[in-house]
Amino acid sequence: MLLERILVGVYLALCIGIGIWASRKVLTSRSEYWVAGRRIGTVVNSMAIMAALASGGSIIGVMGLAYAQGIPATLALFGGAVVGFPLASILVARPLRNFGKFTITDFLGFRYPHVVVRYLVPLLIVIAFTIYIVAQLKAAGIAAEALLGIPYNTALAIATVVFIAYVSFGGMVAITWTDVIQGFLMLLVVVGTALVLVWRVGSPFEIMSQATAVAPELGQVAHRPVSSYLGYFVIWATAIPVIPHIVMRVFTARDADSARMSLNLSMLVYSVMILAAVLAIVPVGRIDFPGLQDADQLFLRVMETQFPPLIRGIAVAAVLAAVMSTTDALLLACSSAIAHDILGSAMRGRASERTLGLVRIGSTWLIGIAALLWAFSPPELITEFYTAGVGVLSASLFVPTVAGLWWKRANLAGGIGAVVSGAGVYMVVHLGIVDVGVAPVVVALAASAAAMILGGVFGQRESREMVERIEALHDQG
Amino acid sequence: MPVLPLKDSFFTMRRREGATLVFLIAFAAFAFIPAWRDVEIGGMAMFGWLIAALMLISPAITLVTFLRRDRDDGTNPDGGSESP
Repeated sequence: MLLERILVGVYLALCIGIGIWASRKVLTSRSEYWVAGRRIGTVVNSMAIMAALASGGSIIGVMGLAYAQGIPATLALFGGAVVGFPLASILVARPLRNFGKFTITDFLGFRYPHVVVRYLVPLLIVIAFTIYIVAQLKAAGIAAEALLGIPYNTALAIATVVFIAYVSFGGMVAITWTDVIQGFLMLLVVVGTALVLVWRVGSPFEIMSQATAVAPELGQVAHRPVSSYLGYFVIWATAIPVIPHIVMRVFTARDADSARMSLNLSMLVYSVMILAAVLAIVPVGRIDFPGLQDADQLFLRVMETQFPPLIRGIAVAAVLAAVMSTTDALLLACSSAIAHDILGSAMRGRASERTLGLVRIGSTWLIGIAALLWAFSPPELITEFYTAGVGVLSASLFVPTVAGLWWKRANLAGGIGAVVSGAGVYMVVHLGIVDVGVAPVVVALAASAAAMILGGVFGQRESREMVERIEALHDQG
Repeated sequence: MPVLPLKDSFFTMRRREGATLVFLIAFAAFAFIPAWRDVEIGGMAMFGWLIAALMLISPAITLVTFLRRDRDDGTNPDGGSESP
């Protein structure tokens, strides 16, 4: 495993080097730290967005899921996220980019100026994203233990310290460039592996035909309620337009058109990667390893048996890259919720830029260390927890954001009601306190929309000034 | 309380973007029709192929929508501000 460890060591050193390089630019400027000075071009942003979405789940998890539950069910889960990006590009990217701030809380706090929105939204983000980060750390620890022979806790600590370091000092500039490298690495490994396997067997159709002949369940829809597939699809499709680490990438774009193009370009690349994984690598793995106890081991087993050590080393780095590229973006978004949304707004005008810079760094370390401590003994159902976390964000933020951008009657009462009822109903239904037989996110989104409509129709009408300001966000280039 | 006509209650979305949005939602709804679970093509349920197609079509068609708008904006000053 020496070669694999050296390759991973070089990769981690490169990440830290980028963080140090970026720190010279970002430490004295909020705009540089949170949104990379708003000058990221379309292609770079596309790759960074792709990498931010593609977590460990998009390499290890997607193949394990397809192996265990079939390809159609897996595509339903990942398809929701993909569809979320075109929705985001049409519904929110242009006006949010023109809004020109740093976070989704900035917009919601402006549109619905109330203490509940200003503090509840970042609080929900911190809770949901800390859980999400713990899940990613757990994946990194398991992957490093399996692939490099490093104990789980040691691997966890090393990986965490590395990305906390480059995120805290290098901010969005460091994240963007490390994500670009990580995105290319993932793409190279997954699509390259799929192409080699297709070349060996003959064609993708031949691979599918052989695999489904021995394992027909691979192509069948598992017998689960429709609501479970629909729920996952809707959660991700509605979360993407409002989920903070993706919205921050909209703010980094050099203009609104670039933001919209990069959201869709990123998903074309992401879809090619996911489809290459499930339509080529999974069927080959299913033929070669029919009785895997741990389905998540599929990709690693395929790499072990089909490729030499050098390629395996690159694959290990790609898995870690997938985990780190998502975790760093989550960490920055989580840190922004504390340092910018909560503390920053309270301290602004009374603290120097240098003090705010220290708060930014401190928040990142605080969240990172808290997640690390939790990840040393993570909950077993962590995937359920983080999907629930994303579900809360989707249920509470989608309606007020989209309505706030498109509905002239959206007002303070409706906004507060939509945030609170979306989060509350989602938790009540998800925890099983009330069983309605429908996916929790669907019920919660309906409740959030109902609150928005009731508030808009019966509450105080929105000021003409606010309507004109929102209209201007749509009209700018 | 005065009630705005429905059309005036919303900010204007460009026609092509609205059409793309409707198409994507309709395609997704079509893909989730339960009957596609039992129809198999090439060893995989039709539901899977439809979602796979949606994953490629949705960003591609949205990109085309934006690119066509940019082209129209370059040749026709009114092309980018159509009413729904």
